[in-house]
Amino acid sequence: MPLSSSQILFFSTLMLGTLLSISSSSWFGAWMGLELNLLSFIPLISSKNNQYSSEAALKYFLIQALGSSIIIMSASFMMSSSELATTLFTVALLLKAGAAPFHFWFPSVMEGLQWNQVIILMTIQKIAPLSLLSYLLYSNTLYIVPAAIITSALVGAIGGINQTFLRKIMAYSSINHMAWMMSAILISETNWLLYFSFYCLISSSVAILFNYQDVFHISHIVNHTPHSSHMKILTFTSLLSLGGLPPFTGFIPKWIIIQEMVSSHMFITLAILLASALLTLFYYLRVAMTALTISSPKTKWSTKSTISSYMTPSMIYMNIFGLLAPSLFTIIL
Amino acid sequence: MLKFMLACIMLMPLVNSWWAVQSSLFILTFILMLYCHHDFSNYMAGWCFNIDSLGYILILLSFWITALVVCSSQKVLKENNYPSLFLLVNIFLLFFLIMTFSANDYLLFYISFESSLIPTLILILGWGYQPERLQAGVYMLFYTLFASLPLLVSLISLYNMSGSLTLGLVENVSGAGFISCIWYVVTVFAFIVKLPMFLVHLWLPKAHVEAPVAGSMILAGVLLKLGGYGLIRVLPLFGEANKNLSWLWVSISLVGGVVVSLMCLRQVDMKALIAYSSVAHMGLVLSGLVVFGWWGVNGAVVVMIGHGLCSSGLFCLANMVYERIGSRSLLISKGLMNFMPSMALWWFLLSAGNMAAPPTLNLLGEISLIISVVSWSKVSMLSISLLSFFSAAYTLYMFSLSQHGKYYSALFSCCSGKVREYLILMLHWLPLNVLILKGSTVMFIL
Repeated sequence: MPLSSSQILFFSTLMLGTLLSISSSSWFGAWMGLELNLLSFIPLISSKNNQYSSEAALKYFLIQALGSSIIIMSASFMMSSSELATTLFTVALLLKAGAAPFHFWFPSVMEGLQWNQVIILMTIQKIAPLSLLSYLLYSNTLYIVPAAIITSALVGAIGGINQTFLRKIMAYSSINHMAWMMSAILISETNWLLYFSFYCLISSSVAILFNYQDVFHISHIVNHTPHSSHMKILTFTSLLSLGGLPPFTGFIPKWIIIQEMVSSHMFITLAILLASALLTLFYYLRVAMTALTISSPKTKWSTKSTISSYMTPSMIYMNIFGLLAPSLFTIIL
Repeated sequence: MLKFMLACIMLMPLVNSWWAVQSSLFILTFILMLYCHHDFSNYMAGWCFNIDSLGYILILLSFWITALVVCSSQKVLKENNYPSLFLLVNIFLLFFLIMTFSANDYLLFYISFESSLIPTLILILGWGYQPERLQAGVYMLFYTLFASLPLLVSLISLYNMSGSLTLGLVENVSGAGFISCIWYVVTVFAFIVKLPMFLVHLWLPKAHVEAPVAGSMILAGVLLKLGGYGLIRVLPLFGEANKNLSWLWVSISLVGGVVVSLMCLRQVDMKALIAYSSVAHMGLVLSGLVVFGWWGVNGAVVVMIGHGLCSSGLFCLANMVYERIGSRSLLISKGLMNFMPSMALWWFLLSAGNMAAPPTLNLLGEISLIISVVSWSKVSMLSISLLSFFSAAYTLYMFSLSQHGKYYSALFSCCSGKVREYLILMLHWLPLNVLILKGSTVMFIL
């Protein structure tokens, strides 16, 4: 996608906001970064051609502004009653990150976006709230975060089953992955970083593939899949990678998190996470199904798209065969 | 072991040439056969991979079955139904199977055990015949995954306990308290679903019925054996818990085997019948394994090998009928002796293998299994006798209904068998009946 100059500007301020909030030493600075981030995301998503995008932008603005105002309010409580302040902070950050039970805005905003904006919302926009959340693990928030983990796992798993829009499916999958990420935060920063980097890699490669084929609905996939059968299988094994099936890259972060959770005896949470992983896998598989049935019926007007860029296949390969190259993830660690 | 894995990887660029892959698979099998005997218990060792006699014989079985799978799926080549992708998927499956059987680390074993699921899923979904294959694929994936995610947790707990996951270095889980029992059930359940035991077997007939011949052959031939192999590897860690709970598995699988045999007797779908008969046989394998006797384990290995060859051959036969008649129903494909008289001999010989008649490997294995289970409890004699009686009964039912009697009047004529097909059946039957002459290759290898 060729970027216009204003998009470049807003994208750099978006990154600046994120960097500002994760590197600031005071809550006020963190708030400022979040605001900058929010206000530069709005122009990135609104476009004249699409009426849904302005709705999404409005929803996003309202929710994020609410989150930010709670943050600035609780920053002022920090001096007087820190317990109340940290609780409010946690809730506001969960709202900003789109974790259940504050997730309701997330699928509906996602639905109005283009795929490349979806990538930003799924990856970059999570960095700031999640890393701020990792500063907040006090004794009183240690009840909120596990509750959010469990609800996110369940909501992400059950919510996605009923969806046929790919962006909503990606949204619910993101909510489910939030549960894993928050459990990683509870354990250590490194784990969170690892899980998050892998999640970014996998989910953005899936979104790039969908963007490439211009699909927004499950039924579009039947008509739009590229003609080469190899490509078809590669494409949709990356969905299984998102689900975290063993031979694929998506298994690596899950494996690490499971290992850490077992060694810190979080068996109940782990059981819920694993059960929800099965359910998410079910809806990924439903998306992938049309491609895995290699000679499926096609309509006459199905387009033949061939992947010409080198980036997409390389991302898919990275996505699928990561487990064969273990040095890939030791770099991140 | 790396040489065989590399050989598999090097086969992948060759997938455009069907004949090259097929003949290389046979050549690789013969090369692997040269490694049959070794003075040391673990050999071909390298980083994370080595094989012992058990792993060796199962890897040999996987090579053999994969070569035969390629041979018998010639229709894919003839109809140009994505042949190179088909070969690629098969080679991947073989690769993961070699990894599974030669891994000397539980986690690597787990990863490759799970990985073999994906090529199987692609085989079923990609080359199956009917729309129901989607349901069958999902069933298979979710049954297996549901049971095996807890296995991962259990393996990692084992790692936390003993600091290593290398086979033979892991500490035993002592005691038979509540935690150990839960741990034990969680660990073995994945393999029990894969085997499959009665009650969790529902995915198997569906998968078999919907899979193409390649899928059924490899599923019956090797993938079910993954469950038995895994049990042989993990059961020694849970000695006491197993001692307390083995009655559960033995009774479910023996009684379930009888029930499944009765279900076989009312099947009209040829492939479903063979699939249900695998459930019955695997029930006996499971009970031999969990009673923890020397005879039981060895008998289980022998039955695994024998059943792998025999049921794979039967699926092959069923597919040959399906390719000619276009139906798996025993009501349509009856009286086939009139059409394919020489094929009837193979039907007979492989059916004899399936009912564990002498001189097949199945007989050797089942005798040892029966000895082991009966010495564990006299009561099991009742269901074991019913089980072996019915296994003969349903195999005879399948043989007589498909071969004898009046043929279906809508059928006119068909090819009575090609050299390739006879060769495939021969290559299934020969090891099944010849290996018993040197039983030490499969018996008492542990």
